[in-house]
Amino acid sequence: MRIDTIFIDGFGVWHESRLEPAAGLTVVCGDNEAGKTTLLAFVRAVLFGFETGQYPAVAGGRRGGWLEVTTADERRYRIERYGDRGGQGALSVTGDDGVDRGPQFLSRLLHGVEASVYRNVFAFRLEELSELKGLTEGGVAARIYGAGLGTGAASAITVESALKTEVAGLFKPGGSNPRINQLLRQIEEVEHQLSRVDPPAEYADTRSRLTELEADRERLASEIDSFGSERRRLDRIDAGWQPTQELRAAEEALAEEGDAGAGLEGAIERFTRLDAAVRAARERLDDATARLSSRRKHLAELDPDETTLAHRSQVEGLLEARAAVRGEAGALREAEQQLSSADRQLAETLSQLGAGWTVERVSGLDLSVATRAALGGRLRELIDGATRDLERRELEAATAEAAAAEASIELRSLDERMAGDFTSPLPVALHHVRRGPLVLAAVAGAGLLVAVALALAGATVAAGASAVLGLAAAGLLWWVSRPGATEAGDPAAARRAVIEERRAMISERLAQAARARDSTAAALVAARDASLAANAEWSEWLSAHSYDADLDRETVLSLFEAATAARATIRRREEVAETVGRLAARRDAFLDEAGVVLAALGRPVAADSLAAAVDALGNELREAQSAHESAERIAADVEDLAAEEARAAERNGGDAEALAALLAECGVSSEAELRERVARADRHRSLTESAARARQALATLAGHGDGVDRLVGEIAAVADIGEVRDRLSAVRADAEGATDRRDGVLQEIGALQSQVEGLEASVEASSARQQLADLVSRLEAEAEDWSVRRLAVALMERTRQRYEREHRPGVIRTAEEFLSEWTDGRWVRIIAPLGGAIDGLERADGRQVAIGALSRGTQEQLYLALRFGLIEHFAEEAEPLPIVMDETLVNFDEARAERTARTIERLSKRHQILYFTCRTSTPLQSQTVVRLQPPILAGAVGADRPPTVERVPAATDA
Amino acid sequence: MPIEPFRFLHTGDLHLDSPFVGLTAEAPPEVARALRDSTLQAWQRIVKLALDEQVDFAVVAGDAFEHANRTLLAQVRFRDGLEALSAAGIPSFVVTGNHDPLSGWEPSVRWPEHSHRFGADAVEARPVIRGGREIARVYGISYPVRAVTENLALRFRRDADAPYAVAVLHANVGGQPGHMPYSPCTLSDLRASGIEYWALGHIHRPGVLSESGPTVVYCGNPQGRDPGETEPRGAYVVEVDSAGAAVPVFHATDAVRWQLLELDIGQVEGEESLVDAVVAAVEGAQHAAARPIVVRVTLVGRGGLHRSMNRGSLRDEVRQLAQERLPTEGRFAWIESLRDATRPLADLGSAAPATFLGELSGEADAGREALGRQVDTDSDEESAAAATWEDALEELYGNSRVRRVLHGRRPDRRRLAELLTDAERLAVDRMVESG
Repeated sequence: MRIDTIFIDGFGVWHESRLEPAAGLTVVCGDNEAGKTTLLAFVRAVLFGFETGQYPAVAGGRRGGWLEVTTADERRYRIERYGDRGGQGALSVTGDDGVDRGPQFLSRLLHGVEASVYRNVFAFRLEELSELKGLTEGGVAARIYGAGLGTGAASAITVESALKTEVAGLFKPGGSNPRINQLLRQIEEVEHQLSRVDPPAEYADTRSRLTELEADRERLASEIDSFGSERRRLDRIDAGWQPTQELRAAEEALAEEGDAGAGLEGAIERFTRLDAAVRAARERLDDATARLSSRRKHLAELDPDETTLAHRSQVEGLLEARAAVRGEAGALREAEQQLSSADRQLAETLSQLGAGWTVERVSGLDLSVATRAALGGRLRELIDGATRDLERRELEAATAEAAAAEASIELRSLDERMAGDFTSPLPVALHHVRRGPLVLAAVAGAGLLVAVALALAGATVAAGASAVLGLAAAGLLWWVSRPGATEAGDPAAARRAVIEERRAMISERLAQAARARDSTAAALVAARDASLAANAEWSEWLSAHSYDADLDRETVLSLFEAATAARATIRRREEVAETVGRLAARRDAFLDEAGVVLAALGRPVAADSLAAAVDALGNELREAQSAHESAERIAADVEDLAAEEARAAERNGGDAEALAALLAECGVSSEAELRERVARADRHRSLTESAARARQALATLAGHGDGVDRLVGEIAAVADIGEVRDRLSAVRADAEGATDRRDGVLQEIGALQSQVEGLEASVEASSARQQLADLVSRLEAEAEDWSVRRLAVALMERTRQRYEREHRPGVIRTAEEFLSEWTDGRWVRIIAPLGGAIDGLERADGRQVAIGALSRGTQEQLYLALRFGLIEHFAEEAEPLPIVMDETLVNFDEARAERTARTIERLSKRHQILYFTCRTSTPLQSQTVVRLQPPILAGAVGADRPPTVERVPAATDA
Repeated sequence: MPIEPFRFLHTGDLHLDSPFVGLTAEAPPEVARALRDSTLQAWQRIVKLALDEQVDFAVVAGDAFEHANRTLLAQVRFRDGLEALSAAGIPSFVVTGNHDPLSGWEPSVRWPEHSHRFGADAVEARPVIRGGREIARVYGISYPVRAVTENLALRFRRDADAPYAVAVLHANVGGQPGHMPYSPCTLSDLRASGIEYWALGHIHRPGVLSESGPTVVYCGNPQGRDPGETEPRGAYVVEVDSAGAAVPVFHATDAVRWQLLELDIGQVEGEESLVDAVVAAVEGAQHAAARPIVVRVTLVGRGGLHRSMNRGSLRDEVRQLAQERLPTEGRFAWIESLRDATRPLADLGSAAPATFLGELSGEADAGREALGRQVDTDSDEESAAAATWEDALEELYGNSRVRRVLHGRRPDRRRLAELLTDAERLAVDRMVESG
């Protein structure tokens, strides 16, 4: 790409200025402040954007302008950019067609060259030429080294640095933040925790303490046993002290007592018992004698009524009858009242039946169910049927009579009408006569047929007759009224014919009515006969059943009911009368018997006092019986008491003999003597028992066998039981203390055992170990990661060193060629680490000189050579870009400047070069020279007139 | 002479209360608890197995505990198990190993009535009585200290009157690699003793070294505890017939099983599919194991996902998303970690030896070659080359704090070569990314 036109609308001191550089080398001359640097900055700004605050359009116009460029394929574009502030501003890239292709197209035109690369390599100022960092910026450095790496523009140094950073991020000796350092710290912490819990220090301590306590427990148990033995021994002595003293005293007393004599065992008891028996027998004898006397006296005082007692059974019978009669007296009175009431009721019932009715007549009536049924059934139907038939026949007779009378009246009326209207009723009569025989025959036939049919059907004669008459009348009517029966044509005749026909019909009806009347009259007679027969039969029935003959059936029925009730009353009255009779008879019998008995006892009394006399007799009998029984009982008592007295006297004698025998048996003569001897024997026995009790008590303490003797011997050795008891108290206190201590130990053992079990079940150590294992695993993994990165760093370092040694990057080699040419072979090699800063130069003799030790001119030649190397390298990949240089050769010595100028000229064959200089003479030989006139300054803020561009003949032209 | 048939349980290397090795800090509580208690659980299963099988006796061939200083919990649980056997009339015979020598501290826990722990002074013989008759005689000797370099097997001699001889010993037969050469012995040594059955402990992988004459069996540990112990773990129930022929039958007792899965990303398209693939792989592994598992998934192979792997959090995210779809209770499947060993679709370095990446690849190759040589054949120059890489890790592994914690776990040369490969891959990826 080359720039054909530079047009500045407004940029620094420039305003509406135009410059048209040559395709190859253009030398732009201008004094200081003529705007050369501003022009260079303008080209950079249009291609890559404005720098903030730099180069405002102080001379006028809008800040910005455009470049017209032509690409290698001869396409022309205008790159136009305006903007007041820093940044991209308003950019347009238009071709000949005027279409804006946008910023991306500009990037394509520049072949991806970044701003920094262009500024440092293609368009640099004099002061920038000597800046080392310009060549170490990423983009430029990548251009220098990437060409030789086979991976594009990669920087081994960048990768190496990144890996080193990662390595340091994983581990740093003495560091704390890198991951491995953190893991180490965590591991140490967990290890410390483990040392605490695995094994748990407290477990060992606890087990140790537990062992001690178990030993204590055994020792204390032994102590407690020992105290127990001593306590039991002293307890025995203490408890055995008193029995031993008693044993000793009893044995001493027995020894002193000597032989108490034998055979007196129980003598006192026997004596006492016999003595008491003698006394008791005496008391009983005395008592029996006294009671015998008393009873005998009482017996003598008793005098029972023997007469009454002799009639005892009769009197008792009377008393029983008396009780019964007294009990029935109420019932008798009540029965008598009922009988009176029944009599009244019967009389009333009979009076209701009517005069002539007696008990006997009522009793003779047939009140059977059959009779009652006949009244309600057959007799009722007989009488009621006859009555109803008679009434019906009477009604029929009256009806027939009335019909005949009506027909007769009607006939007369019709005859009167005919007499008034017609002269002769003859034709009708003739007509009537002419047909008469036929009609009669037909009616007779029909009536006969109906009569037969009805007879077969079982109808009554009267009904059959009525039917025959009806049919005859109907046939007659039909005959008379049939069509053609009257003569047509004469109305009067017709009317007469109608009337005659009607008269005939009425006449017929009259005849029928007359026949009916006759018939019903006969039936009425028959009905009346039947009614009379029924009434005769009823009367006969009444007579047969003892009723009055003039009674109707309802009355008979009422009587029937009343007679039934009367008969019940009669029956009840008879029952009550029977009860009264029976009770009265019994009372009378009692009174008769009472009279007989009292008379027999010689106590005759009036009849009305018999009952009271019987009651008094009963009392006397009971008194006599009581006296008699008492006498008998006392007599028996007297006998018993006499016997008892005899027995008491006998036992008294026996006991006295036994008492005497006892005294003789004991060899004493008196009770006092016996008692003295017996008392001595009792003392001996008591002492013996006391000794036995004491020995038993000692046996309880010391066991049977010789244990008692040993205990007694042991106690005998005790001088002071008080000392023993003091010692016992002390031993008890010691034992209690030991027991308390043992309980405490047992409690502590229990607690420690729980603690041990808890520790044994703890997984704290396991968890910590697992955590430690995990941390170590992670450490291993991180260490491996670190190792891979660290080895990668080492690999990169070794490869880079080898590469630097064996493979010079093309850019460096080209630069070395330029430098060697410009310095006439003095400097042959550039010391340039792969991707790193340029270290220095190496002379043809191999001596290396650091950058800092080089002269400014040589440094600038080195950097220019590197830039040219890059430009050449860039041109190999893409279309060359315009190069803008500002006083590049000013610090070169003349010879080197000349040689460099040749290089620039040669370079301008492929690249468009704008070379800015303030000198009128340069070693460069250019066809195009442009002189810039400085602007006229009007004030501090800007130019009154911008610089001017003047194309001048080239030196060669001159 | 025919003997009475009997049955016994052979276990050992319980390593009770030892932690579960792996990244388990993020595991939910139930998983963490199951992992923590896994060895104790396995021991309970062994006890149940002995009770269910109604064995006549049980032998424990050393390393019942992880630490010489037995932890209280481990000691109590071990005691409880032996007590349960004792209560059922099953006598037990225990020897100690290098992890739990008699010199270690042990809490004063009461030893069960019918359990015998052999001493370390001499081989002891204890009869097993059933119905008043001796059916077998158990011989054993414990480790007095951790490092027993004496060939203890030589001390065993069968008594002529023993009906059947079972020897219990913690030993390394035939110098098996990966295990300390404690009580080193050979099969010939064992054969010479006249013992019929050697109940051995120490090697954690269960196996029968010799089926007869004598029968020599490593019971293995009953619970795998780290990513190196992935196969089923358990104990043997040994049937001895009247002819004296022993048939050891293995019974898995592990409560949780380690699983190492490799998942090729070659056929996996996109991160979401990767989650699906991880879940499917883990579920398949769990189905096969039929118990809770802890899984370390390593992504391998070449594929487009390789570049994504360098994004720091991706693997964690994939692991988390996959874990969300897997059970974390009951028969859980816990993804311990998701590791990356994938490769780009094509190796950049090897394709262009003159480029920087080509140089880097060459440098790594040289490093691996130097590290791969046997130490004794190293020239000075090669030793120096290997030392360069070893020294690179000195900053970390030479640090006293790190050294104390990771004692014995500094990468050896073989591992260093593997790490160098990872480092190369990392460097190349970074170079390519930044390019």
